[in-house]
Amino acid sequence: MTITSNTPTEITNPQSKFSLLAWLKKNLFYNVLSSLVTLVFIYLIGLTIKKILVWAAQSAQWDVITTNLRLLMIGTYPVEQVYRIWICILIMGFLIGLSWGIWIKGRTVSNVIMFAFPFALALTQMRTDFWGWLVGVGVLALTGFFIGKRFPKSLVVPVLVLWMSLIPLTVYLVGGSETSRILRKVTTDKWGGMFLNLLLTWVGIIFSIPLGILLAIGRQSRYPAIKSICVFYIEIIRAVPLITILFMAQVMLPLFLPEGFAFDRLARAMVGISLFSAAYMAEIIRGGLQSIPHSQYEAAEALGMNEVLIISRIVLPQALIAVIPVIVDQCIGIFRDTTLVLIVGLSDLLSVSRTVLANPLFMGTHIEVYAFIGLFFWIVSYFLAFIGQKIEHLACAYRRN
Amino acid sequence: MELKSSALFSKINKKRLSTLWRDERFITVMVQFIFVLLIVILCAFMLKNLQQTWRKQGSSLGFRFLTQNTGFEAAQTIIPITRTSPVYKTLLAGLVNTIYVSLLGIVFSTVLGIIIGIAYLSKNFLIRKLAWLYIEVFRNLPLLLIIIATYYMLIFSLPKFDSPVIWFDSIYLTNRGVRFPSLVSSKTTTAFILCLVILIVLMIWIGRVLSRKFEWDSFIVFMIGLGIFMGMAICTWNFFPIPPYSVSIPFREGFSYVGGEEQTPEFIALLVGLVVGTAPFIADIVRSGIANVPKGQTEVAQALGLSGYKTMRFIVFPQALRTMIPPLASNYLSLTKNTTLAAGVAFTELFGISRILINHTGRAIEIMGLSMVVYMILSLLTAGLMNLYNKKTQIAER
Repeated sequence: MTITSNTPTEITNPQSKFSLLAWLKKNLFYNVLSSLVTLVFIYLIGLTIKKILVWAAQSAQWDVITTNLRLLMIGTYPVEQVYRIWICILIMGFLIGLSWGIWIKGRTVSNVIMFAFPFALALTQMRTDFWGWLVGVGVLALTGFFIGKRFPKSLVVPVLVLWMSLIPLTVYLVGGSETSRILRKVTTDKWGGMFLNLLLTWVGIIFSIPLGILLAIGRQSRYPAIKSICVFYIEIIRAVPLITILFMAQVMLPLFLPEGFAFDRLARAMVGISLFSAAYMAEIIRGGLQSIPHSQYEAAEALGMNEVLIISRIVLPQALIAVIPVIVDQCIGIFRDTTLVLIVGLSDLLSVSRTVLANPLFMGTHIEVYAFIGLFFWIVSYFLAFIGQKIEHLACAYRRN
Repeated sequence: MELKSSALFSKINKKRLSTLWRDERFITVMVQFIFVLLIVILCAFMLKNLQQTWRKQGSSLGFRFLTQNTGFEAAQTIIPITRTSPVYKTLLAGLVNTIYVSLLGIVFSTVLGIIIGIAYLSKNFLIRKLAWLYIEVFRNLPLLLIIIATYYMLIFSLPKFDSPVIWFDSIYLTNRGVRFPSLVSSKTTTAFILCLVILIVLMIWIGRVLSRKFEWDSFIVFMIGLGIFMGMAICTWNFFPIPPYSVSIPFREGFSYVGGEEQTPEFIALLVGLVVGTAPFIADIVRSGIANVPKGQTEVAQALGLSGYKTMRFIVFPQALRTMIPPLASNYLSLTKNTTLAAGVAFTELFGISRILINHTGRAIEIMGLSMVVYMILSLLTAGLMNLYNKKTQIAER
């Protein structure tokens, strides 16, 4: 294998026309060895693709997915209450559409990806009423998109507030309350599947970023007591595995809280994930803070700003913009780590899949199920990365103006 | 007169009080005091609740249980664990397993990561895209999913116990595990290894003298040294009355397989998951490390007439290594921490054993606390070692 940096750069004439033969010769058959390698790999890839296609089309039993789709998506949530989750998805689709219209303004490719997410979410159940809801989500997302595009300035604050209140809204809608007659109580042990993973991710992101900012500022603080406590927290959390923290949150949190202060399993897992990723966020944001040149502080001080103003108006915005890609990576990491709640007994997508595979009807269909789960994680991770890219572009554009 | 002075005094006092809030030193002390006070109050509140709960349950903190018997038998540990083993020894067995898995994982994932990272930089379009595909796919999959999927794959695709797949007449693959030939040590093993170590040290010393003082070609020195070493090793082997190692080949005996060494599907799934899941990150580090070495360096090396391999080995790689070490260290650390995901397939490493022990003894806080402290020590050790190495390479740069 040759390394690109080993060979001197070839100066190509920019005006020369693209020719397939030249491209092939340059990239695939540039010497005997590479030609051999290329041929062998083409053969192997062809063989693999053929095998996968034959398997997917013929021997794979995809009905394990279609029959258990609702279980995989929302766990054992009561069937007659599913409309509540649909309402959440509708709100989310509308919000995504609005945000897209306001900030990204959409081109064709972006629009396609914009709808991929609510649609992926919307596969909640393959029933008769399924298509109605799906069309509803699409229509709402589109309306949101056009409304957002029409009034980009005035809608910014309400949309941000709505995004922030999405968690309490979802928790209320899906969980209901004991007193309410319409929204009956559904205990959190009935929540599950993909919905749980997404909820945990969203909670983790929303809580760990502010906490991480506070910790990072604390770590950079000139007060030794504050600094040492923040360093202690960050280093301790980063030195232990997430599972032990989740486990501790399940077992120990009730011991440390006063009696009657009920905290259910899901909330404990949320606390564990948020506290854990806050430490990582803090380290990322600290990297951003350190990248801000000292002259920025001095200039702000010369303008007569106090400490709080300097940090919140001058240093922090620049630092956050500098580390957006890393923060997005960490968010994807949180999403991947939500699968660990399986080990503390919550029924997330992976643990539901175990229940499905334990059913003797679906013996030996593990490859189908795990391929489906892998695809789901891959799509959502890509979506998050895509959004992160967009946010970065926006932030850079904002900074330039 | 008196009145006037007191009025003046109070004025000064007032001024002092108001300036106090603007005094840097006062603020420093006050802010920290309030912060620490808040933390202390929070801790005290939590501890008080803990005490109350404990009083109600009639239990308290204590580590005396560590010497009691566990009463369970753990399979697949390197240190054998029986029913009568004390708790601390069981925990130790878990720790040894953790270290074993993570060391193997680090070695294999580094090898795979380097291969893929270099493939990503290949001039061949196909290989480059394949490496890219691998990185993109496995980077976005949860590690736990990879481990569990591998486990089920092994369990379901390997044949049943009665009809094993046999490779080279000596490797038996069944869904209970993979049994392969192993080396069995004898009484003379330690002496043999000692001899080898002395021999290696001697060879390295002689080789250094030859290549540094007499300026022999290092390749020739290496080959001569290797030859002498092999010869001497064979002589030492024959010198012992009992051979230091014998090969044990597994075979079937009634309803079980004997001989050799067996690795369970749990262990293999964990290892494969860790390696496959960590390799993309390492590949990315290797790729960016090599790509970030300024192009002028390779050009100069080529102008000096160094071959492709020598450019890589002596010019590019050492410089790339310097930028690669810190992120590699953090990846190794996360690999070590990710061994806890074995809980998904019930392999008994430290966390798994802790969980079983908590069920047996009911001492959740103590055992979890202990294992967290152990993970912390492991992390700090790795971080410390990497820092040392980092410092060494940084100084060499000057």
